[in-house]
Amino acid sequence: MLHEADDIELVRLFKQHIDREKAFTAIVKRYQEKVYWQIRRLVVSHDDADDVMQHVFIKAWKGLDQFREDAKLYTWLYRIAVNESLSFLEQQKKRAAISLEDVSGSVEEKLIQEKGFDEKEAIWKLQKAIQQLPEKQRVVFNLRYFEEMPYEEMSEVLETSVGALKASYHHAVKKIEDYILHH
Amino acid sequence: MNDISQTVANLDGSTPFVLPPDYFSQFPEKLIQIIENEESKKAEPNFSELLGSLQKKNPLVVPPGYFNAFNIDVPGSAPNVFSLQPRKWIAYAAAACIGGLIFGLIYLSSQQPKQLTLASQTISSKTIESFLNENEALDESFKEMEFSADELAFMDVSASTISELLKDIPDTDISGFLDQQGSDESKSMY
Repeated sequence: MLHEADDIELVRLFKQHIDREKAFTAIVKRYQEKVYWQIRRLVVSHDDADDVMQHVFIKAWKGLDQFREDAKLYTWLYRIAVNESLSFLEQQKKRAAISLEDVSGSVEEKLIQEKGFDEKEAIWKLQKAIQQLPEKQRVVFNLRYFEEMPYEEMSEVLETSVGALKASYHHAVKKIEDYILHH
Repeated sequence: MNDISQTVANLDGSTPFVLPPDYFSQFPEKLIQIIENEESKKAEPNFSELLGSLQKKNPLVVPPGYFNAFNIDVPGSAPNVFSLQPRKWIAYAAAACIGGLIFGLIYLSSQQPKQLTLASQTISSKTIESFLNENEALDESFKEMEFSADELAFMDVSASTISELLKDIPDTDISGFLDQQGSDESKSMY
């Protein structure tokens, strides 16, 4: 019955402490895959993605009582996911700086270590090209290209103007094209 | 997409990543377990609230009159006495300083006559004779330098200096001197 309830109803149930866990589980089940793939494309490794996923939903559990009902739940979850992924990558950078390790190299290494990785396959070449992008451009490209998220929604998630997002996506596509043609 | 890049538009947009089987079916349960663990950690303060609500009564009993009869005899224990006077080493240090000072003064005073004796022993009689002759010559030259009354009359001496010089001379002597000087001058004028 809960899986049929809309987001607003689930949030209300959560806030009223009526079937709090069940309401939250329904929310997790509804959005976990989308949130997971958004995180996974950024951090590449499944173990890292799983860690970030847990942080995202624990944050959601803690913050859901303050969630405004007029906002869209998935937009809010996406925003948490993007922020958590970027802070995870930032922490990795700091750790790498301490251990004198090349971070971009380490992300690429993770990609190469992925099961079924084949450099010659276009599908993997695209993933390698995405890893060459700056982090925020990578987020924009992933949301637009894979999720086909409208710019207006993306603007809410990333708190950036539609114009800036369009420009960012355009640059990202050009860079990817350039990488694919020259590798 | 076709407008931006034909190459990227023609790519297969599917994800090549694989994930463990049943990951999404197990994830919500795993997540709720983590949240419950965190919640139970938060719930720990309730236990101390439980402790706080308990009555602080001691269920243990003491034999009647135990504290009244309680006494300990410690053999040969004398109370510690603390002196309020300054510490001994300070007094010793002060005494050493004063002693050193007195000894130093005595030593210095005893050294001075010895130096004179040593000086008289080392100077030859010829040197002493020549020194005395020189002194005599100096006395004579000083005598030559004594000013006459006329010379003194031309000297620029202030009234206060004169009164200072004449303060110990009785007035009768001064008036006698002046009378004598006056008669001499009148004689010389005629």
